[in-house]
Amino acid sequence: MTGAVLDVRIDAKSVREPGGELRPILQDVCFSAEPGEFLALFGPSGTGKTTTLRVVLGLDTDFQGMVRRPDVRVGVVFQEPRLLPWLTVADNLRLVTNDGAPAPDISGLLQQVELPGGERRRPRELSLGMARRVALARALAVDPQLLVLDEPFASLDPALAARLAGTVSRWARQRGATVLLATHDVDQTLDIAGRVLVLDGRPATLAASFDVPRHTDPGSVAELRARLVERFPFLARAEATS
Amino acid sequence: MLGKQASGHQLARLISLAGFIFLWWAAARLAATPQLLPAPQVVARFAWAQVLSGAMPLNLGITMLRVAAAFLLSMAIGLVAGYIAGRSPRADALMDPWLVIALNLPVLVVIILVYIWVGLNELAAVLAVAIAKTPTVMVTVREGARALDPGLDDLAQVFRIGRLKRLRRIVVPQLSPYLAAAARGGLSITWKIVLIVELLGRPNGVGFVLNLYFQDFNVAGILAYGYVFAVVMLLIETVLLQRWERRVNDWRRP
Repeated sequence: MTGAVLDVRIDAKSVREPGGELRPILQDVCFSAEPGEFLALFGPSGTGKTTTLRVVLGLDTDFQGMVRRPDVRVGVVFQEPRLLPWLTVADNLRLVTNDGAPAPDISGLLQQVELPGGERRRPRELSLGMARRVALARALAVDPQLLVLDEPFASLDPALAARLAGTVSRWARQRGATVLLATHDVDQTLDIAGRVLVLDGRPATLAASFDVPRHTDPGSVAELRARLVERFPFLARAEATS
Repeated sequence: MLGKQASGHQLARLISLAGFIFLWWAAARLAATPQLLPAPQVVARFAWAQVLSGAMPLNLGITMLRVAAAFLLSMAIGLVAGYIAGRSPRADALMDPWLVIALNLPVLVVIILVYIWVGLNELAAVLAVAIAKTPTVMVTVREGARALDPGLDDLAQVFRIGRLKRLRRIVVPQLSPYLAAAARGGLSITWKIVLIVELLGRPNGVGFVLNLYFQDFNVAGILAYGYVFAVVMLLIETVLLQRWERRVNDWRRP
């Protein structure tokens, strides 16, 4: 596919069980993303969302298929914040920027994730939710052309999570960045995503892929949400527990 | 409360030390001859005379240079080899049998063989100590390299953090507690091995002097050099290495 920031074809992906046997977890998962597109990846817990993201990021190469990704700047928020405890928040943000690149606007980035003035704090002084926000700021610090987010708003209170989701969406639109977001939260995501991918089954396949109607029409988004929950009941359960 | 507890511990240490010196003094009084176990004040006078004559500072200095050279060499080789073995299972499989042999080879055998093969010279002395010490440094660093957080490797890979920056900002801070432990354990063993090396084949240094006093049956000299050298090494360990260890572990404290 020409012009795509991301072109993914996972024919088969297995993991080795403790007993030694291979268990297939992903099969026929194919999708691509155009520049500036916002993709949301849904799926029940343990279905292979994180594995898909690891394949996309090039961290897992043990699969059948291919991932094509032009040489773009990538930012990532892993499920765990993965901050370096021996560095301050500001140094954690500086760590990921290349030596030749312009210095990141640390205080501006921290303002964006609603942690103003946190530059000199150490990760051990932060709650999990705060650490996740620093991890998001760190991902934005490299001005990524492809932003990969693995449940970045988990353990945040719903209002803050919604505000940060809006911030990421606005930021991506302004920069023309492509976003791939793995999440459980249907309501929050349908407000910001341009396309939805659903993983389901065992091994998981791409059970659905469709565009989200323009956000100016709340009625059609609500209808889409109802159809999604009806077809994939796990989405309603995930919402209830989140 | 904590301050009171700490000063209580200091007092207990002082009482214990005073008790040791008193027992030594009492044993010296009971000894059949004063040469067999000289009293503390006799040993102190002997040590002071050696300091004033310049013999003790000279021999201590020579020994400490050998300790420093062997320590740095074993730390450098052990660090590189241990890191490679901890990161690569194949390299570990290749190195492990050598490591097991090296760990179980008596230090004395290593020293004698190196003296035979390299000659009775300074290089052989430092090499023998480094060969004897490197395996234990390597084992400690290998454990540290195995414990490196793979999540941070992923982070470095995705954000394309350069090799040098990755080593400096991500790997070394994780390895530091292991390096500090290897350094502390390494130093305390190195200086003891250096004494044996000097005793067997060097014309100077604390080990050489101890051998001379052994032949002269000069127990005061043996005790004077033994205690002074042990105190100097303990000071280096306490003042430098323990402080460094506390510093590199600072981020782990809650």
